[in-house]
Amino acid sequence: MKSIKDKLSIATCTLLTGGAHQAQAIDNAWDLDTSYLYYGEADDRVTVNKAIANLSGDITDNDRVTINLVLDTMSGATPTGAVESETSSVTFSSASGAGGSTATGGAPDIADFSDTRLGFSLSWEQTISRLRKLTYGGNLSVEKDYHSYGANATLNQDTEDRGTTYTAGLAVTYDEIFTKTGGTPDPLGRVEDGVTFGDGERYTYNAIVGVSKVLNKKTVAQLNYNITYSDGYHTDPYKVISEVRLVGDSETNAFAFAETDRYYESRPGSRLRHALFTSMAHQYGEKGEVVHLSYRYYFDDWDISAHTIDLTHRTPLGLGRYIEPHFRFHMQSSAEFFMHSILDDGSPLPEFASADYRLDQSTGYTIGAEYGQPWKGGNLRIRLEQMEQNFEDAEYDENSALIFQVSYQKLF
Amino acid sequence: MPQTSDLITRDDYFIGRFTAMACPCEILISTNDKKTAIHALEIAQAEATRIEQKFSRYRKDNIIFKINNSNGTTIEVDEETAGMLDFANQCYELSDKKFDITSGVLREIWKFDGSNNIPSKQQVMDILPRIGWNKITWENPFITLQRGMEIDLGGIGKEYAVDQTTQIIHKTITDSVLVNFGGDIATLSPRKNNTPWLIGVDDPENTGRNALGQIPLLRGGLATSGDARRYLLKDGIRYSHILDPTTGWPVPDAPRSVTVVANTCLEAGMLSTFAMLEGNKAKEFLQAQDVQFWCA
Repeated sequence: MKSIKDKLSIATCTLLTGGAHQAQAIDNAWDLDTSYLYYGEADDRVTVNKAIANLSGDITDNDRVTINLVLDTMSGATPTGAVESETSSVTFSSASGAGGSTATGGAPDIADFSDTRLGFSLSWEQTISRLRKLTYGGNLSVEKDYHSYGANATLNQDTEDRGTTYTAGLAVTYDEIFTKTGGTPDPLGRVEDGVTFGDGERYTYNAIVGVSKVLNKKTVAQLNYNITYSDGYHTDPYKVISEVRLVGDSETNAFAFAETDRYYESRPGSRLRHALFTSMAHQYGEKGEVVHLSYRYYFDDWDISAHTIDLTHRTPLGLGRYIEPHFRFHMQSSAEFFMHSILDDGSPLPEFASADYRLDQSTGYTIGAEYGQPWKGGNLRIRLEQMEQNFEDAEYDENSALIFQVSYQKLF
Repeated sequence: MPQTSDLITRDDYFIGRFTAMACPCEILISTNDKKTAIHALEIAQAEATRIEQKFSRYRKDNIIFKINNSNGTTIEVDEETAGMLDFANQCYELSDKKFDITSGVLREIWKFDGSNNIPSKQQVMDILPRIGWNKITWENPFITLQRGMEIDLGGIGKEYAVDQTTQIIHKTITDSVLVNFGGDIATLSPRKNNTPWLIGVDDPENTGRNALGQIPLLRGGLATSGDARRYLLKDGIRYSHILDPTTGWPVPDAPRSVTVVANTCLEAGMLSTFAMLEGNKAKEFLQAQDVQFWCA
């Protein structure tokens, strides 16, 4: 007959020593978090289906590893930056320029595309001493027209009372950018000429310093400053900009843009970005409601500045269930070289120009909610959100998207 | 109801007595200091009473009642109860599904009063669907019982109380203390001069009058399963009160009594219970566990 005494001894010891042992068991557990995300823009624009898997666990008492895998499939149509096609007098060959490997059916001002992205990252957190942790990481992301490789290191230092944590980190990223047909187009070269250069390269250096502080038993606050310098190819090889003439009737005051030519966009060869991020989480009430408020201020040397406010409020519903409404507001100014189109008035072309709506002045908000509950020994979360964006000058001045995410996390 | 207790003075130790968990409880304190003895007795009585109130299936104000009357809804339990349920789950697996805290409903048809009142096969068949730990959803800290099912931590509670009480007393009192709740015993240290506590093992054929032997216990736990006074007798067949939850019938050829010595009272209690559930293989089972035991 088999002996069960050892297993029984362990089980008995666990019960008799109570919570301390159980808590340790959870600390050492492997944590698997998987999720599926759908992002769908209105009017059949961009659709993203994303699968995410995150696995973390302790490999020794002092080392914890985290592996993250992301698989995105993106498809749909996206504005190229050109003015709407009915006003155009330019013949535009979508196959040579816009987005997709072979764009079919997309109007020239909007280009069909589809791509798949595989992202992988690995991080290793090392506990140096009771109060100090060092995290190293590497990441890699591959698309048909984009490769990205990165490495990072972060130091976390707690104060003796563990009430405050200081963070300092450095990261380096190397990106390769090219079109699916190879190379990158001539910046501000005529689309019709189709002059192509070699692949784009970009190096990005990022530094972060931060502090997070426990203000009292129920409140935690955080402040971060992030500076990023990038050097190299920043242009989007699929984006174009129209050269236009104003046509119209001065009697009726009805004007329209008539496209006379079309160029590939051109952006500066470097960018310096700053971001200041502050957040606060506070727990209150009998049920343990948690309110989380954050504000981010961003500015860069392309003249973009942005403000983002994010607010969530979690209400526990008992038995581990909760509901968490979410509101986010974002506003930004436009890049100095952003323009709706280039005016065909005989003056020389600018050095940099882009009609990419993402560089335009805009306001946007997201509203939605997340629901969570325990399920099959883990935690299930479901999130549904609606995003609305308005752009000041871009040809397509609105965007709305539906975001749906279902996630499942389990400890082993 | 006021809780009473007695303290008796012996040569070099005190005996404290009270009743809890429906059995006589006793603690032996190896000291000459009466205050220390009273303190130990108070701690023991408080802890035994706490555990009884919390886990007794006879009360209507505790977590067990809440779980057993949940009508199929999910109940969130506290950390200590969760620990007990985790432990019960492990015992279910270690005993090959024979130790099952859902088997208590069998008492509705099996009443061990020394009579010949045996339930019918149909009665047993009818009750089996309400038994089975595997039918319960236990996702710490949430438990969901199917309607009609019940749990009973009685098979763990007394031994758990003995070990808990021993540990709590040990935190405040340096003198050796032996805790004995109805024959389930534990101590964390030997008596003065490093002498062991001596424990008599009851003879089930001659209960209360004859000791099968004496066990010297320096530290550890001791537990006895089986009760000579609880059985049914029909057509010359003696039905033991150890019921097999997988069949709904008493375990055939179970020993009258099994006593085990182990690291803790809880471990000893589980090993003696598992041995009883093995029926005529009880001895073989205990030999494989490499523990000190008495099987009668």
